[in-house]
Amino acid sequence: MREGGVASSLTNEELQYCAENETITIIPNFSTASLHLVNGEYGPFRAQNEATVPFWLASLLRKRNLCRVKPPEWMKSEALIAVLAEEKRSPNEWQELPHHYIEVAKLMFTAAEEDFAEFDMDVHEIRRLIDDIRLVRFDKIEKQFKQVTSAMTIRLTNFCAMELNLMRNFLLSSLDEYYKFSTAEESGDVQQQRQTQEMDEDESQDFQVRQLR
Amino acid sequence: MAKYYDVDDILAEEETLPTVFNTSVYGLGRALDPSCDSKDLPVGSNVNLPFWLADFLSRRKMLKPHLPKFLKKKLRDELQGEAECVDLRDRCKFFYELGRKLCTLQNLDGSEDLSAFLLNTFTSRFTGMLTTSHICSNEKRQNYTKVLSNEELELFVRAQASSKAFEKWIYSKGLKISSRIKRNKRKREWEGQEFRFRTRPVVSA
Repeated sequence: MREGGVASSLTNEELQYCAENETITIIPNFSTASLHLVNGEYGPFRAQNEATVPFWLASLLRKRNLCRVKPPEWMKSEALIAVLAEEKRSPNEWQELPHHYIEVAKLMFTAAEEDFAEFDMDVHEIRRLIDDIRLVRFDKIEKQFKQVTSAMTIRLTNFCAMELNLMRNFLLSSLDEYYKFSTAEESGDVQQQRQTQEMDEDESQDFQVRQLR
Repeated sequence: MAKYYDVDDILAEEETLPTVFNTSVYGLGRALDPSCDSKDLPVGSNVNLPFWLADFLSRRKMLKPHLPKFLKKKLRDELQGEAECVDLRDRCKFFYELGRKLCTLQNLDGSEDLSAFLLNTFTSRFTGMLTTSHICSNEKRQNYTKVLSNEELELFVRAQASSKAFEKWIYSKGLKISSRIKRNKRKREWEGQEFRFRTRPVVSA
């Protein structure tokens, strides 16, 4: 495959790493003063009181059984059902979801699957709903791409990081291809113009010659 | 547009197209046309020449180029009818690349609607490619890649690679991310003996 044609993109794992910086609410079962870390200050933590931390810290604490992770608001099944219905209703618009919703959902399911039950949430239902939303959105993206017929601008409002990453390679190289067509067309036009010009010149020369005669 | 050392570009220019000479060519009859009997090539002889040579000579008005076989009327009609099923790989691997180059060629018959035709073909095949590359069974995929031209194949491979990477990620279980940079595991050797970091010797007071 050719290199350099397309801007290098992040891998999915790197995106997941970025998503781990998203903040999330935890309920610690320990008390301690605030943590002074390189990129910020988290805490203070008091047992059974909610605290907001980035996901990487939450998953570390969860692994040591020091906290429970509270699923974010948008992950509640009622909210997800509403989003899904809205996605299905409007074929050309995407609903506003957290930028890293696929990654955060996956992180939640791997790191804190047991915690859903404690907040009266059915993990299987939520998993299914998020998969559905992802598929519906992706289907709409493909439909949108089918309308691409030239090197044109495409509206990508409310696209999420993972969706962009998934489509980036294909979309950019296909737009490249379309761009090549448009430049070929232009140069073809120029050629034709030049030809007609040359013909005109030939005729006018003929005319001059005739006049001289 | 294309880069000088782009191999695809060079290969695309290597494809032949039929040409008719306006002038006679001295001493190159055998070299240009193996079926030529005499040493010289007479005026009006039909020769298949690679694009790069035809382009060069037609600029000097030494020959008149014609459309290659795969852009003749018959195939064009086929492509307008059922674009997705036509085997472009069999006709010409660099269908679009060469087609675009032909658009810039001077005094070529039927080149007026060529660019529009190419764009139409690409667009109608593009939509089919989009769905096949992302959601499809492996068998259908394999059959499908056989009919794609080189440019389409590259797009297809890219799309498939990213969707495969996504599937791999979403079904993977761990949270750890392996680094892209491999640590250099070669051991240092020092006077034939393995060099090891040792704990500092305890100095007795």
